[in-house]
Amino acid sequence: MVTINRIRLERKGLESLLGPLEAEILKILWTKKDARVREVYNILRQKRKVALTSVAVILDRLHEKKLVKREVESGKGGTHYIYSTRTSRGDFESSVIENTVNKLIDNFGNVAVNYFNERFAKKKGN
Amino acid sequence: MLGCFVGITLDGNKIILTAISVSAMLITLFLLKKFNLSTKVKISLIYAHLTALFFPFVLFTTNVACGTFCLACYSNILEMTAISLPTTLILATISGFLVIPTFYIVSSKKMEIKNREILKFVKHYSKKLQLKMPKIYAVNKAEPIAFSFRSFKSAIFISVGLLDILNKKEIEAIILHELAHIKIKSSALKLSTNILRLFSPLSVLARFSHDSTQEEELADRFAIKEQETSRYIKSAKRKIKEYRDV
Repeated sequence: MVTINRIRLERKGLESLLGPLEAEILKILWTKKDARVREVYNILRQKRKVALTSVAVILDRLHEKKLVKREVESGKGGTHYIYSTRTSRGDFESSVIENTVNKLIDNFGNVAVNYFNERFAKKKGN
Repeated sequence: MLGCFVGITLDGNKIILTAISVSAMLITLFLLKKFNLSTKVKISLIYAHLTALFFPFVLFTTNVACGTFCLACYSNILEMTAISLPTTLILATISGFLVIPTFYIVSSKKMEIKNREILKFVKHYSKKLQLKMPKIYAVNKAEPIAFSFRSFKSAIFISVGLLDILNKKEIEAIILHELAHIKIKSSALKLSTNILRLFSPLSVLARFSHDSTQEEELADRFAIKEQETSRYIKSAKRKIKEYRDV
């Protein structure tokens, strides 16, 4: 399960859960399946000004957050890390929602449950 | 029966030898702390200190052993020294040059780099520096680091994270820098200092620092000379700094 401890409600989408660069890099990895630091950098720098070292740092942070996995690849091109996501985007988002809802119920009990029931009833009514 | 336990007793000879050992330990520390000595002399003093540290232990252990088993114990200073000193030197050499570097090589998460181009490059410059060709290892770490040591066999360690952010010329600059460190034995001093701090309780009385700036400059100068430009070593160092500053 993905653990996200902070949601920035003023931001939209993935950026409400992660830093802007983290979100962009994760999106690239979801598209590319796996990539080296330099490959992620080459895609990203077409959209924005970024340093190769920043990409390397962010990929390591995503690895620490257990959002991406990495393996050492050794071949003709040298020795590198090859990064890939741990889950699909859909599974990641479901996991964040599940985690958040569970925490709200843990913290606010019946109030939260009643609210969700009312909300789902409204949604069905619509 | 007394002959069987003569080794276990604490006699004047053992006290004299122990006192000489402790004095030697203090003198070596004093020299390390007070004087700006060359790397070779510093390493020699560190091992002289360690030998003096281990000597009383070896002396008492061998005496207790021969006493316990009723063997002919050596009783005068000359005999004691003749047996215990070589044993101590062998133990110090094994611990310093075999056990600790081997433990480090075995315990670190690393893999040998077998890239032909890199090996050819290392072979060429090892020959030029009259060094035995070191092995090159990639350490499974994202943090950009590179280091080397020279012991019974030399090795250069480069983290995968560093390989990720450097280009070919920058990697070559780092390898040249580390080869120069192996040549000037700077890693041997660092390793020896760590062994000293690990084993010797007296080392806390006289902490001595080793200014590595000069060695770093020497290693950089070698890379610049061989590449005929400072561009690559500078950009490699800038990237390492950038990574740490993010």
